[in-house]
Amino acid sequence: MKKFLAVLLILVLVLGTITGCGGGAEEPSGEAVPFKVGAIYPLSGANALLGNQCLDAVQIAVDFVNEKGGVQGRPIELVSADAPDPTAAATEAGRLVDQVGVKVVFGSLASGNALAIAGVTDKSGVVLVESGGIADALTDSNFKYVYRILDKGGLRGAVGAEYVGTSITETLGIAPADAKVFIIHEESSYGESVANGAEAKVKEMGMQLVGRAHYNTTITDMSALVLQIKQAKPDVLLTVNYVNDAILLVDTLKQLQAMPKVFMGLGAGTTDPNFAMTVGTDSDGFFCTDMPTNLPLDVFEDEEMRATVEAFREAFLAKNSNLKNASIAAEAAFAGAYTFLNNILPNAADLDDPETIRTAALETKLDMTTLGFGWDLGEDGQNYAAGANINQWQSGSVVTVAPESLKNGDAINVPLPIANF
Amino acid sequence: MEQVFQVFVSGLLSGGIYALASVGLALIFGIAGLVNFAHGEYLMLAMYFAFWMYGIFSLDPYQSALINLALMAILGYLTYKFIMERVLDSSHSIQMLLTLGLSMVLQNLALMLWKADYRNTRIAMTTSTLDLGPLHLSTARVLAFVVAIAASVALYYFLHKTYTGAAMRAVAQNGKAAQLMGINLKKTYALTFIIGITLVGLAGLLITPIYPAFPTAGAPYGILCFIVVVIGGLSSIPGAIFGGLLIGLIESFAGYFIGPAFQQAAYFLLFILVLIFKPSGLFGKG
Amino acid sequence: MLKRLLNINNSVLWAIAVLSIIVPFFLPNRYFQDIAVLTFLWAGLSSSWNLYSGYCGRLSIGHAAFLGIGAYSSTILYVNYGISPWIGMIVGGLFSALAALVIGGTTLRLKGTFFVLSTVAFAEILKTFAIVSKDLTAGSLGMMIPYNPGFANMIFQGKIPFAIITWAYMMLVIILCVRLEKSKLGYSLIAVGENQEAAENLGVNSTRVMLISYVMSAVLTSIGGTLFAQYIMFIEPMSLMSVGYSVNFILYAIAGGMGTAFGPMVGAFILVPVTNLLRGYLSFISGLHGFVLGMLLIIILLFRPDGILPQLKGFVRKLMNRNKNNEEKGE
Repeated sequence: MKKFLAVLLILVLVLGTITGCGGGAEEPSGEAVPFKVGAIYPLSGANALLGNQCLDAVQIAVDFVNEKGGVQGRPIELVSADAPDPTAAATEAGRLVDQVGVKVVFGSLASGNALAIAGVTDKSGVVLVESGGIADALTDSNFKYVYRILDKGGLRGAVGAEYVGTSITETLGIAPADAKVFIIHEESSYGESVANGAEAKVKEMGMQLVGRAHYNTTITDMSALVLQIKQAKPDVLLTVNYVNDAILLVDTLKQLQAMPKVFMGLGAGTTDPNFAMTVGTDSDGFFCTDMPTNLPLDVFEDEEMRATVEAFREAFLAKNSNLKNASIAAEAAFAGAYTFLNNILPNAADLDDPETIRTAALETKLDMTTLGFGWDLGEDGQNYAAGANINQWQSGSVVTVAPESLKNGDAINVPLPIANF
Repeated sequence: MEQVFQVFVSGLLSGGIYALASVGLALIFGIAGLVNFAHGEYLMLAMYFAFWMYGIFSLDPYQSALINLALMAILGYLTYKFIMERVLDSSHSIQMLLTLGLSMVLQNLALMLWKADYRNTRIAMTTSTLDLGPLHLSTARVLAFVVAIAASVALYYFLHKTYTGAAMRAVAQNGKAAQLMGINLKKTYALTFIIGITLVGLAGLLITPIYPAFPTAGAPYGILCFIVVVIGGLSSIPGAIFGGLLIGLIESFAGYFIGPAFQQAAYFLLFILVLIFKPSGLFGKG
Repeated sequence: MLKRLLNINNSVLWAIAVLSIIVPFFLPNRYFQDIAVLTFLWAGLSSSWNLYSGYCGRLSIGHAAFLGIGAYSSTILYVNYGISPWIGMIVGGLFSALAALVIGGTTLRLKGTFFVLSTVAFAEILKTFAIVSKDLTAGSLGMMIPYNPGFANMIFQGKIPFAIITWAYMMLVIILCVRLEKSKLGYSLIAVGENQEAAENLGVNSTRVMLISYVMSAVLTSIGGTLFAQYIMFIEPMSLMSVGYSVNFILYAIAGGMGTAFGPMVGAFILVPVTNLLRGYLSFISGLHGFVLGMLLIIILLFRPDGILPQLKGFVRKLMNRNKNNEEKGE
């Protein structure tokens, strides 16, 4: 009987929660009505590491803008949501939109989640500012209120491949047609879309694609994959990974003595500070094509922006004391949130009218954001000022080696001193 | 040819780890008849222990092995006492779901306590290699392989040459008869469970230098160990060893010749074939 | 023990099931309506699982495979060929039936953990297939269903139509389960589950009985898969066909009571809202909702292995007896 009462109690509690929260978003009276924004990231599950970092970054952006008096005099209230998979992402987007009443959502790291979130937010006229998901479909699907600050996956792959076909082949002293390229990628939509872009470019430039393979990030032994690479003896390895698998890949390449002349990562894993910290000095000379990251402060000519970037890095490292640099995922999440709150929303005629937010987002053009490139949205919501840089690990730090405008060092170690063939 | 030989050796080496983790399960599932779907999570916990020992006391996973294994034994005992002992007579379904719940709890507990960060334990052995002619072998993997095989063989002798081991096997064959002969059933079950968890802990600490610890690090091993045990013929320790090696080889060859995306599918397929054509396992009797 | 709980107080449960459709109309906004839709959907899915595994006592941890077949069949037909998901749902059902025949034909004779593992293995193989068949399924990029509301497209503006469809789906499965309980097939299935040899000695063709109900279970799950895809409007193999999703089927059924027609519904009615609300309101502690769910499962299994449904029934019965006693005293 007692046990049954306990069960009953749980039931009552659940119902209580539902009805208790059922009042909906009541707007407190007074002048400063808070402007509610949401952040949806995978905070549990396989992608929890970067998800939590992104949430930290968005929180810092909100804090910064609030310190400056909020948006149009309204303080910003951040509500976070955990989305370990697309279904949860859709449900949580619904909660933020309908229950909390947010007008803007920041997200979402995984492209699958982004697509699920956009399906919910767009119908309700809520803005999704995407600073993590790079699958092409997100801005190719006629969403009206989805704005992506970072580059598309396909473009990123192409930028990396193009650098290989021009600069790297030149340094190696071979014709692009003689350059042998091997592509490997983790098999989620992120790896897939970047690799597709890279493959198309490799073929377009007439380079030889000697292999392409994909794997699940839960892989614990990459020997078979690396032996495939060893068999194909490529000059260049183009690879799309998360951190964990990137480290395992490098370890295995070294152990099986299958390191090609050029190692180029095309995404978050190989640009993450954890990657270089763990791999150590052998990472010297590894390329990573990604959004600009860890830029030297003098890239930011605007003094206020420079201070903001510096303050962000400090605040982020205070929350993540085990890191040496802010991860690229966090930098992008910060840039997305901060730019939108600080530069776009103040231009909107009415913060509660999504049409005016859209107008502001599309009409505002910025030469520079904290991410190192500008803000220039196309009708599809893609930021066409976004670009990928060619970065390189040099002595444990990311150095930008291309394009010319952002460059702060020359490429070294082409071919890699630890190359085996 | 050289390449194929390297594929073979790489598969064999990772198979050694699977073998050790699975031998623990063969003991728990095959011999004691207890289903433990949280097996992989104990591997994850051992990895975390090894990581913290290295991070805090600068003891590498080999130096901290004894403390680590003692901790795993205690953990195994607690799990047995508070959870498994209550369901000794329950159906396998109940045990399975219960340990499924346990694995959810342990994974999420790790996430809450230690966050989702990848905890790498980088020691000199992580990247060093043994070069045997054209073959390049990861020292850490070779060591893991050797220890795994040695531990499995030691277990085999323990089961067949000692009184306690014989008691375990007797309980496995006929619990009631064993009890009549004066064997303490619960004690034997407890010991079996503890040894099983300690062995998977050993597997965990051996891979710590190669692979980082994170909350879901053990997840791929849970089902894999069951498959190895079934392929190996349930209660057979040599069967589990060969099963582990076989899975390692299949992963390696499928990964090399078909593609890494098929590594898992390949051993699942083998598993189904075994169930269809030789349900008693490749090394089982009958 | 032939499920002596079968007929006690089922009227109350019928009332709960039928009347639950009113709930979404009174929920304050789409978020709660969304949870209601997911609750109906999972109640239906979990009941579909229950139809085989619950009654027969052989757990499948591979039902996400049928979920995936249903979702992909209708989505591929709709997105690539413009064929209505209502038709796609039937096609998906046929594919699932076929898959269930193949899987069932090879694994149903396995017992206990062997059967469980074989279902996992098949689901994982199908997942790999969905990931590598890029031309067919777009691989891990996933497929998005364009937003184009209309009944024929099974896409609606609000949540209410979906609440009605998923509720109807849940009711369909529950009615089938209740009918099954009273049919010869159902008796045979339960008998096979309890003791296969004894059942066979009594003349039950166990293979046939198991295969029929396994196929039914797969087809119903597959229908749920189509609803799932149409509702979320985005599917990708990694999460949809994962072991994690397969576990959900079982979780709700166990919590409510396996092998009872209304058990999975009761489990889903409680656990789906609880997990969603926990994740929604306690997201600042990552991992908490998974932890709580796991703890709940352990506690239920250690202390109430039959689920909470028998408990509820016992309570209602006591109430009724007390009323009766009181009435008698009154006279």
